Amino acid sequence: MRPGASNEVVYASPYVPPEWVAAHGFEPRRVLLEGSGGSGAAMGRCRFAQAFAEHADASGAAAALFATSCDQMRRASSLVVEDCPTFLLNVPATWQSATARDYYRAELLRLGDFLVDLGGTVPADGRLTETITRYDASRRVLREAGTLAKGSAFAKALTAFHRDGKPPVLDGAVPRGNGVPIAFLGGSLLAGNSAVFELVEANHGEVVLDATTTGERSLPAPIAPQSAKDDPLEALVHAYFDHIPDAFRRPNTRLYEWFTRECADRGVRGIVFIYQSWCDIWRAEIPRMDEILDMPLLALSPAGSEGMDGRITTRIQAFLETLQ
Amino acid sequence: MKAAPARISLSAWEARYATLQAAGPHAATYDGPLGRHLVEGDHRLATLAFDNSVAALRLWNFLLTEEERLREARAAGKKLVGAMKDLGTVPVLAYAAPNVVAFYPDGAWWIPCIMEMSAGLLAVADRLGIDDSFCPVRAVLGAFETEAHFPIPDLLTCSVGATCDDFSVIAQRLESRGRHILWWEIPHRRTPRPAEDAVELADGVHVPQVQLELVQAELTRVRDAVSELAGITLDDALLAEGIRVANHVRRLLNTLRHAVFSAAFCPLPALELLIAEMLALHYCSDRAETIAVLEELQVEVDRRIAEGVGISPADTARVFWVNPVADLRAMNLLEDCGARLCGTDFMFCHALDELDETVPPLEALARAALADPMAGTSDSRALRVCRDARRWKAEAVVVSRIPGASHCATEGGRICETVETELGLPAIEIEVPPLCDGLEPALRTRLEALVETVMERRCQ
Repeated sequence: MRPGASNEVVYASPYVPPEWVAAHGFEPRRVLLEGSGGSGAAMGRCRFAQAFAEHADASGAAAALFATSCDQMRRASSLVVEDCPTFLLNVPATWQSATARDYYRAELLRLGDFLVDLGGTVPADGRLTETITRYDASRRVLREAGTLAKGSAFAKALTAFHRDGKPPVLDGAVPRGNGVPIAFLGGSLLAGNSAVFELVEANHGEVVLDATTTGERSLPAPIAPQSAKDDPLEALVHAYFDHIPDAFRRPNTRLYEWFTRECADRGVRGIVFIYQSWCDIWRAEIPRMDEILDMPLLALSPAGSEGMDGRITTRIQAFLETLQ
Repeated sequence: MKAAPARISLSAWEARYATLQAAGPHAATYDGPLGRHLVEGDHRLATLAFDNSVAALRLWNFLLTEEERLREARAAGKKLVGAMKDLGTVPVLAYAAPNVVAFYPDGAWWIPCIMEMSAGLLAVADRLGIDDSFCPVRAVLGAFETEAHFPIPDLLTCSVGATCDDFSVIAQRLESRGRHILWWEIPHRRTPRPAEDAVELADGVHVPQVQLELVQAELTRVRDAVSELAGITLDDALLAEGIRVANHVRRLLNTLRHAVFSAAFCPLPALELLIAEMLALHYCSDRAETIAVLEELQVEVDRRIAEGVGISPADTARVFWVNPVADLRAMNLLEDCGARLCGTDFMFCHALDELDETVPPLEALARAALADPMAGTSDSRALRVCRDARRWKAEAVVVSRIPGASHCATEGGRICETVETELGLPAIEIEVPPLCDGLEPALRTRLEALVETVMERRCQ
């Protein structure tokens, strides 16, 4: 490990299992990023990808993990200019062949080798199982709490869980009210984007489903204790690769199946679709969502960390007025 | 009837064609005056400058009659494969079946340029929610919706993974409109670990064996689908023959490129060279004719070199060009500004590398797919640009950004930096939209400044 680096390994992709990183002796940190202040957007660069590259440079982390789930993030790994070691995890876009699945598994093993080279340890017998079990228990608590808490509180709890993997604390969180049930959908959010949750709630909306990449859509499937014991790596592949629906998968039918089902279960009446500037992968889904989902959709591309400007506020107010 | 090499207008070609006809008709069945394509809607031809050789006329006519060939192939009972994104791999496989014709629907990205927006393809893409923040290849959506520019393929394939986001989402949008797609994975090409089994690709890059095996398995799925479509078994013998023919085409192109890039006087304009290179992708839907077209071009180029003549003066600035241009006019503009092509990477240089005939055919194709510059890092692409620019003594590099394309947000800058660091050459980025008329003064200024920089460096 480079001198002065922390024991943290930072990442942004939901396809990086933190259990795998932790079992190798590092502290996984899935980061909620501030928006990039650089000139990337003017170049056509995704704000999130640019922000993660900048974060990797400045974080002092032991390593930064990128993933190939979009071209922008894939190429952003080359933007890291300081001496922070980077690892690019190949996450196949296809999922209907055993080859693609096997490749993801092989990539996790390669990630493990990278972490060992970095000074980590090969997980001893039982360590991976124990780590999986611990994370899975935290996620179970998180999911249960998420059914009761306000969307903004749940988003904060998710962020905290991604940051340290510990069971979320939702004591004192304001319980969910009776506002118009809203689903959030889209790619990864930046820190400043969380204000959209509060704006919705302040205007008589209730976020009952956070299907952004930083939200509950990107949580892996629950892992049965026996699976974690029998073949823990296979359990991770199943929970992450087989389960997490995303816009970049080809075909991405599972995203629509999952989202339609969740919306129906939760009585969603409107969708707030959030995407970052120059995020082709998510932006291209807006017209399909409009075609497939028979409910109002508001597409927003909020600025990064500058908070909500009048443009966003007015649109959310108008959207919720329409639904009331 | 030989004339001094020159770039001439469409109207000048009309007059020249009449003279040529008086001397006897050309053998190619698609022969005819270029002006007929203008009448059919290819309005951009009126603003382009063309090489004045008979070989170039044949090249243009061959290119502009592809739709007719595809419709004839279907009428003759052949099966059509629409290969998307991989640029140069799936067609080699598909053409190995005698009753299959493969083409790239991606090529529709030039329709807004060629037809000067009159086809309305981008407007259709707009209506489908894929607006001009995406790459102009979104014209593909319009072409499928209107069904007016090529017959709808019997089988659609699309490589995905380490590809640009724009094409990936456009293909997904296409599938959402009811076009079934066989997706196959092309992983991000990475450097092998020190003790890892690896293979060397044609361009000298090494890839891990595990990645080669993945792509080979994916291409096996594609082969099986083509076999089923064709009603025959695409065995190794057929595939090997397909590879042999592909290599013949690639050798012809490489000989042509080397001759053009290294001649004292530029013997073939940039625009015609771009089109000739495109023939490597899917043979413009006729393998045999592609070979004939390229052979005739080579004869013309050899003649010009032997006679010491070309389309520009000997001291013209030597430029390496990166990325295809959405507006073909930009290639004319390069020469209008006093430069010539001395090296290209139109995003499919892997389709010009010869396939390895000493390994099993599917492995050879997998190696070729992994050599795609888009599958690797921007830095590895930059290094190949440097290698080829050095080989052909380029004096400057132009990186042509594709509007909205995800890869262009990062790679252009990396390539320019690498060129400046590794070669000490000036490099610029320009952006070329489907019709660049409105930007032409700015583009011209930048290209002229680059040429002036080259000339100044010569004096130093």
